[in-house]
Amino acid sequence: MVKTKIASLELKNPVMSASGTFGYGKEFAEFFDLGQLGAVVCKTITLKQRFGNKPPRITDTPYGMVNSIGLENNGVEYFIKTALPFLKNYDTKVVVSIAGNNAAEYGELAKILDTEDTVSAIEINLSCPNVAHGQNKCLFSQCHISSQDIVAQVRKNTKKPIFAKLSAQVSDITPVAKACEAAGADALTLINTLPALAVDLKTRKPMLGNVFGGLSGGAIKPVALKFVWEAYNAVKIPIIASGGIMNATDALEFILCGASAVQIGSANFVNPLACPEIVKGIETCFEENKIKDINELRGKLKL
Amino acid sequence: MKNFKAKIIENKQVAPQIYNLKFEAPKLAAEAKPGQFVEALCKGSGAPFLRRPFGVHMADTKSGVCEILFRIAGRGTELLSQMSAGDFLDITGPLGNDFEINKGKKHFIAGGGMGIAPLLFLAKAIWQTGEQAKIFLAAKTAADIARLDIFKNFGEVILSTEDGSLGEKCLIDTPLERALKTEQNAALYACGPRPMLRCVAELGAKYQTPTQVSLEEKMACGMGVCQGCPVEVKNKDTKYKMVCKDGPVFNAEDIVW
Ligand SMILES: Cc1cc2nc3c(=O)[nH]c(=O)nc-3n(C[C@H](O)[C@H](O)[C@H](O)COP(=O)(O)OP(=O)(O)OC[C@H]3O[C@@H](n4cnc5c(N)ncnc54)[C@H](O)[C@@H]3O)c2cc1C
Ligand SMILES: Cc1cc2nc3c(=O)[nH]c(=O)nc-3n(C[C@H](O)[C@H](O)[C@H](O)COP(=O)(O)O)c2cc1C
Repeated sequence: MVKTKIASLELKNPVMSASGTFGYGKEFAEFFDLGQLGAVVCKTITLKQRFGNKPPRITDTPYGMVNSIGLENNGVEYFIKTALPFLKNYDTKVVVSIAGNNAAEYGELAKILDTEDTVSAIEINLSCPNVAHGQNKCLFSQCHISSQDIVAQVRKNTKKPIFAKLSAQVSDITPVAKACEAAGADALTLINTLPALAVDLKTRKPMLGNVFGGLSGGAIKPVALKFVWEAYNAVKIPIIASGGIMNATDALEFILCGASAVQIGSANFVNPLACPEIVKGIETCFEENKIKDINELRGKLKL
Repeated sequence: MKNFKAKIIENKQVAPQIYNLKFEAPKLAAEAKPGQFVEALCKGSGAPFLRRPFGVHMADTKSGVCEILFRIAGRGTELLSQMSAGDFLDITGPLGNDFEINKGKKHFIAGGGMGIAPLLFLAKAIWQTGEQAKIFLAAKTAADIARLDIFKNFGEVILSTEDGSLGEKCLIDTPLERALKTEQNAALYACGPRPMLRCVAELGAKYQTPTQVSLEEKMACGMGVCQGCPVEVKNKDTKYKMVCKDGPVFNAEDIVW
């Protein structure tokens, strides 16, 4: 059995899409039945429509890519009108990722989504490297006080399970992980993309219109493994892994390092069938190794 | 929209650095429309990471054979050039929208550099309707003009090169403007480098000719998921549209050049 549990949320398997790499599921539904997934995590939404960053927004790097989308989306109202009615048709959990400019906006989004039955859980994006917050342009999740504030504000406004999505751009994940747990997060998702710069030697220009972007893909897997393992050891709430998961072996490595579920991101662009193939691969591994419950593997890294 | 492994029938160099790759893809051949593209996985060790987009150069429903035409631009296309008959190529497609053939018009097709790639399929489709097309092909130099003989099957070809080594020594706008001056009922279809397309868009506006352009932008998913390939548009509701899903074909007048 490959099912897993994140707080009160029961997932048929530990595989979710990663926010921003799967849209709202519609395009991928042409390739496979979304019901094969443990959950669909939607592209981060904000209160109001956002236009995103200027192009180019994508560049290829060894074993990965750098993006600077800038949270382009049509806002929560549009999302509720168009994405949720579509996703309702599938036998999977729907996780909605949210972002705001301050704790109040996060709270307002949570309040709006709380009344939507199709929404199974909310992921709080505290770590998008492509939007700047405050004067010192740091990420919310780089500050355990901001993180705690935002998570607490979301907690106040919803009874649904909430995940806090964190950045690896900190020297120690423990304080922010503990702060989110204390503020009522039901799970932690980590890691988001790593702030990065790609340049073109010929033109002497940055590859991206926004200059900086976020690195994702296989290149960041070892970094993500470290943070998942550290967070797993720092808190009691479940960990959802994200970062460079390209195949079932990668996914299983994250479970070994403490993940209760995994998110598939950039791999969707390389192989549109990555998600269902990873589900199959995990099932096969469990069968072959007579693993009856994910907890027999989860966090069993031998030191 | 499908993902499949296509058996390569032939991968032939047709000009310096330019390859014509033919592969078996009956479903794609049946579904693809002129202007649409595919994303091909150019496998290396680690790089490139993402798929690479290529216009559908030709699709034949009867034989189930599709073609792409590409120039070696970097690592991905270099790897693609090394594939040979019998190899399997991982392809997603057809992707994007297509050219709308303006029935009853005099069709002017304008291709610059590798922009000619998706236009052969369009030229064939127009030819199949029984209507006339004038095909303007332009490049830096004669060697860059590939597939000339095949284009000639589908209409009158007008050539220009920057160095004058083939056809007229000028940019594409010179013969195009000359033709537009004498033809009031034209429709323009163009693909090529951005500066050329801007120029074609200006001509289209000047001669009040409906103009469709096929744009390029670096892309990741290729199907409207990641919002990675924006083009700025003149639109009240949104600042950007996505080249992969809303395009690659746009009405020239909608684009912020
Ligand atoms: C919709 C669409 C259709 C296309 N159709 C064709 C075609 O039919 N034939 C053809 O030869 N080329 C086509 N291109 C361009 C082709 O995709 C790029 O040349 C290719 O991706 C380069 O990959 P690479 O790994 O060889 O080079 P890289 O090392 O990635 O880059 C080499 C150079 O190519 C440029 N480049 C990279 N990706 C793109 C891209 N997506 N669009 C434009 N330039 C890019 C880079 O900026 C750089 O200057 C198309 C692009 C798009 C968006
Ligand atoms: C194009 C792109 C867009 C993304 N957009 C979002 C987003 O809107 N919200 C978010 O929380 N993470 C976003 N991410 C981060 C991914 O969800 C994921 O955490 C990250 O890419 C690492 O996983 P990967 O290596 O499997 O891609 C985005 C990543 C990419 C590549």
